[in-house]
Amino acid sequence: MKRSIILSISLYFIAFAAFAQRTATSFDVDGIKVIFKPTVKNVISVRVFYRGGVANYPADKAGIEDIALEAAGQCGTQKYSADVFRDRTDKFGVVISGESDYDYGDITLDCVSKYFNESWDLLTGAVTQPVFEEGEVEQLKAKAIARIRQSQSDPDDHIRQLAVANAFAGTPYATDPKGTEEAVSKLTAAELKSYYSSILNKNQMFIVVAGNISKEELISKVRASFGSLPSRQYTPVTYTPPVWNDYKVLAEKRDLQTNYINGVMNAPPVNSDDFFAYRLGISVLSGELFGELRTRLHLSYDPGAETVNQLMPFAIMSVSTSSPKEAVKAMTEALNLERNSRVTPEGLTELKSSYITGYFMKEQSSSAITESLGQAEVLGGWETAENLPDLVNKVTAEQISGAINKYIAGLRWAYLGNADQANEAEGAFNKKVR
Amino acid sequence: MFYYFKPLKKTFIMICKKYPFTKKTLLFLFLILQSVMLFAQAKLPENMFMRKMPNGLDVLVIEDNSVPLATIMITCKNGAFTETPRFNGLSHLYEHMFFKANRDYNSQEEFMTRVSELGIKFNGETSFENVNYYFTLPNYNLEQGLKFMNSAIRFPKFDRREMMRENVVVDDEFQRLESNPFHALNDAMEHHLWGNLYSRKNPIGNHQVIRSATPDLMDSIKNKYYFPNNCLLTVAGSVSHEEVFSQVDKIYGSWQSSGFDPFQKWPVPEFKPLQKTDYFIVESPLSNVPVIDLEWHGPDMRTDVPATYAADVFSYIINQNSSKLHKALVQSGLALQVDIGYLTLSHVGPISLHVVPNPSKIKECMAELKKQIEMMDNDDYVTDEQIETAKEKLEIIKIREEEVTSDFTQVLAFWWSAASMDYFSGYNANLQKMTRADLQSYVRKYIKGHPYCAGLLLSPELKQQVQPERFFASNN
Repeated sequence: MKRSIILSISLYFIAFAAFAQRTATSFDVDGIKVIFKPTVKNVISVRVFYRGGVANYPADKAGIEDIALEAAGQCGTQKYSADVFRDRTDKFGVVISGESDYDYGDITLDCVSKYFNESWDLLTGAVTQPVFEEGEVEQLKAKAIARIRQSQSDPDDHIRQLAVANAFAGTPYATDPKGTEEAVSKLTAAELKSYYSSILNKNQMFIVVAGNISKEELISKVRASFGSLPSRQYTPVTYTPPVWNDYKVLAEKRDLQTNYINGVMNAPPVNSDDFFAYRLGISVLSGELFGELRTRLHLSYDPGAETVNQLMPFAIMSVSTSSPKEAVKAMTEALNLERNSRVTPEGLTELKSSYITGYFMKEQSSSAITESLGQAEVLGGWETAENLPDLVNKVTAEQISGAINKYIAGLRWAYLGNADQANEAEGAFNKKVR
Repeated sequence: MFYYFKPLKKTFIMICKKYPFTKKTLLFLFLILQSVMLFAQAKLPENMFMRKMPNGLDVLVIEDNSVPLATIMITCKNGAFTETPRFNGLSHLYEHMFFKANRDYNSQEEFMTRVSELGIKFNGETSFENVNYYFTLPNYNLEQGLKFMNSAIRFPKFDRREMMRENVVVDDEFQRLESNPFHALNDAMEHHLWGNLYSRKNPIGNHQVIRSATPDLMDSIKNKYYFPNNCLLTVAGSVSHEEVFSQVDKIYGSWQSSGFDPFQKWPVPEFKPLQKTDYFIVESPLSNVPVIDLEWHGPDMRTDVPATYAADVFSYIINQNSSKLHKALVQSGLALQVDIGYLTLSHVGPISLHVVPNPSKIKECMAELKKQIEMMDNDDYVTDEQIETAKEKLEIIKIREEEVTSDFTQVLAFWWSAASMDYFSGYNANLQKMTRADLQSYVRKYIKGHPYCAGLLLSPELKQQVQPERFFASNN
């Protein structure tokens, strides 16, 4: 059995070489970095990235980048009024959207090859000549405030907000990039316009494209549209992530049918040698949580764990349960089991195989490709995303164990639900990992 | 033992109703709302191959060599529409039990070990008129994957203790749904819209029914619906259709047909038309964004196929930025979002109009909405350009839908169960034939002047402030 699995995985990587129809490359076009991955499908994704995220603005302006980038594609350009712009997106089946997160913002174009020229024309206007029509901005703000409210009432969203708030208090990530109702309501069209001008800088931006187009066509389009953008000095932000080697809980009472629990742990940055070993380790933990909390103990519908790859990265365990005390105990035990055991050779082979299945599933979508390449570029280099199968294949069981033990030494818990049950679980929340 | 997987989280059709207003999902919603415009060719595309086996199993192969994966999906015509109140939720529980012990894998642990060995990402979903089970795995494991699926679909074991333990898991799934701020409105709407046949439109099911389920009830579902002549096997990805058909013959050839049509033997009762317009208000402390939901009984595949085409074209036009409805509600500032959609089903698909009103203008928004509905069959309500844009859009929708093959299988399964592959094949051509008169006829037959259910979701604070009982009624 072992022999056949090893043979299979070897074939898989040989097969990968044959199937990876084309590979990503990067190049400079008139001072702006472009990352390009040709694909065989007829859906094209273009993402224009703006580095910095929450480092670009003060906390009292939370949400300004998110709304400015959305407004760039929604509130009119010099060439098209907002209304005409939207009509053209309908006509050509284009989706142009903008948003911002902790480390970067982006304006994205998603279209079919047949209407790439018309779509690119709209994207160019959104990126280079947005006008931020006042009435449109006010409508957009109303929608943004509704989204903020909805996000707070959605337990899956809100438990994550609590987890990040507990883990990153006192750091730049204490600013929610989606903004607060108070901050967003005060933003003006003029402010958004001025803010957008401040990040419209070739050295702060880069472009990622995936689609069935030629490199020559792409270079020509980028040069014509973005060659004359401003170019100012830009120094990428660097952070010193907080270290969580103790245990703290942030609990919020809410009358829900079930209780939501997150546990946040330290994680290595993308450019660390531990990065892929740790990611595989968290995949193991996710499987262990599923196996224990769902399959064996029947405590939760969808328990799991994932890494969140940011400049200040973390890993997070997520559970919903009507038995919080038992669930938190089981989560800690799952961590202990992982810290004190080692993946078997067969298990490691299977783990990599499953992981790479997930990788290729994402590779089917142009939009997912540009997202992963762009995010990797912000965090240190797009090559990390492109070379994922090779890098994953090199990881050993010893490296997984080492990475998990190195980074997980404490937890920041978040809890949303019944207050009495939170109190009952207090001891479990403070239980140390071994 | 370690398991190296986590199920993909997908709810397909249901997600539209659960999460009506999120920025991230706009593209997804757009695709889902327009997914009905998928199929253009008079015959299947060149990379798609369909056969019916002697035992009645439909086998669909989609060849796509862009990534070295294969997706194997079994679709069974089961789900909410087959459920009496006594059975409501058992299709869903059955779906959960699928991923547990069977004749060839003695326990869920063994099942999951095999999942890991084959590098599988898996999930299942129970909907109104179908249940899907799917594996995506490296294509070199295709034959093993087909055998693994065969074991699970044909030879499940329903252990009483295991079922009781799974109830806790299903309960948590319920509770998660109930914790969502929009659930209260959605569930109330289903009750108002379908009355005593609510169970036939409630895929997640009833807590109590699931808690008290027994292996006998699971077996009864199996013995009614889980036969090859009521299933579709889809294999998609980097595969050869000839090899797939050959492997399927060997592995699934011995699966015996039931010899009966379950829908003749246990017919789905007819949904009675709504007798009167029904307004209701749902107050929920979990809600801090008000939502208005209007729903009508729409056409179905058995009785009015032409109207299903008109419904789709009309929905696409109304959802455009240039539509009169959009201008009157969103661009005027009365609402933050408005979407209309029709869900194609074999048994009465609902027409849904979702509105996120401006919280300070709910009354005005509702008045305008009623006004718009009265105008929907006017000659100038849709323009020639909008109709042509809607039709032109079909090719775009098709390209988008086909991009991610592992997801496209779910779209095809939906069409197979709600309509047929023939409907799929002729869909585009039939949509192209739609005229303004067809759209007007659809509106007059199903929307304007017809009873509907209208629900308003809002928080207690907003309710006190707005006092919707003064205006949220059919006679205003």
